[in-house]
Amino acid sequence: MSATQSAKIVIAGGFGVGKTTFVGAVSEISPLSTEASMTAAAAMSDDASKVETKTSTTVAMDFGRIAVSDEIVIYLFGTPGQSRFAFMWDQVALGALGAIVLLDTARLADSHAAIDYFESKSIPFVVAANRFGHSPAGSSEQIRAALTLPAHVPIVDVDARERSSVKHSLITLVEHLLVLRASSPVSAPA
Amino acid sequence: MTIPAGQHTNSSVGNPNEADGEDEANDGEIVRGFMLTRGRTRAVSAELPIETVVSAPLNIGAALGMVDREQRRIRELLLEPMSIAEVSAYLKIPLRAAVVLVSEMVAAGSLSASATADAGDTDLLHKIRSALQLL
Repeated sequence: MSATQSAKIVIAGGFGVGKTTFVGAVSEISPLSTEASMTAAAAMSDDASKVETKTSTTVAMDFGRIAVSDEIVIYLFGTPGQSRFAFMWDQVALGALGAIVLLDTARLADSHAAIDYFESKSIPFVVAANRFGHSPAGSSEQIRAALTLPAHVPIVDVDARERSSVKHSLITLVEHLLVLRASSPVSAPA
Repeated sequence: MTIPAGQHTNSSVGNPNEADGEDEANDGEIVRGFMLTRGRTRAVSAELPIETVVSAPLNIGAALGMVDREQRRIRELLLEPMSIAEVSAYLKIPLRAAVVLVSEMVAAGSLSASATADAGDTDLLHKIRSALQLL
């Protein structure tokens, strides 16, 4: 590999929603795991108060890689979406091409914090509903209403175990990015 | 890319109902990361993004007087180019510490870094879409 350019896409979602499975379905390497440490500053913030009495905490983040060409490589970072992990989002997400918010329709509330974050940072995202057997089969419009998502944000169904399904989610994101670029040709978001 | 033997981490792949294992919290690692960077939590130089692909040019190294063990391990690993996130994963260095160490080594000239993509580059997005379709 002699990449001259690399890019990243963030896969955000609540605990157990299938982020690692999603990444593993398309990654050319077995998903790797790295640890992000909560800094002392973050440990004193309100969000961290939910982490009980711990004064330092690490969270494992799984990621994979897709070689687009000899010169371009994309990294997919699976990031915990709950607000108590917000301390690591800037490091992972800033500069990303875009994000996929992976959700379980039985636990829509788990995705609010990630959606709010991406909106606040102007990081484009699509929503992918991972179809679990136990989850209610809500329509895209029901999901859109429940999450108060703007009309332009794509919502797709995904089976995180299926390579073709995960590919479809990623292509939906890239096409969404192209649509956004076409509609605001002046410059990319800062 | 050749994956160094024995450095794979176990990951649960294939069952979306299985816990991802990514949200497990542990104590203590922050101390190790802090020590690796000799107490610094920010790089002296500009911090590189975690997806930056870095590599170790063959002709420098010992000549720069690198006695630091972590820096040597990083250079050995980077005979094969890879991202800062992969350096963190393979060497089991916390991500934050890997960013600080690698950014400083790049600034010092002992590693070289590739460019990261501009999210506004539509040509790049078209290339990515085509590649994903062929995946």
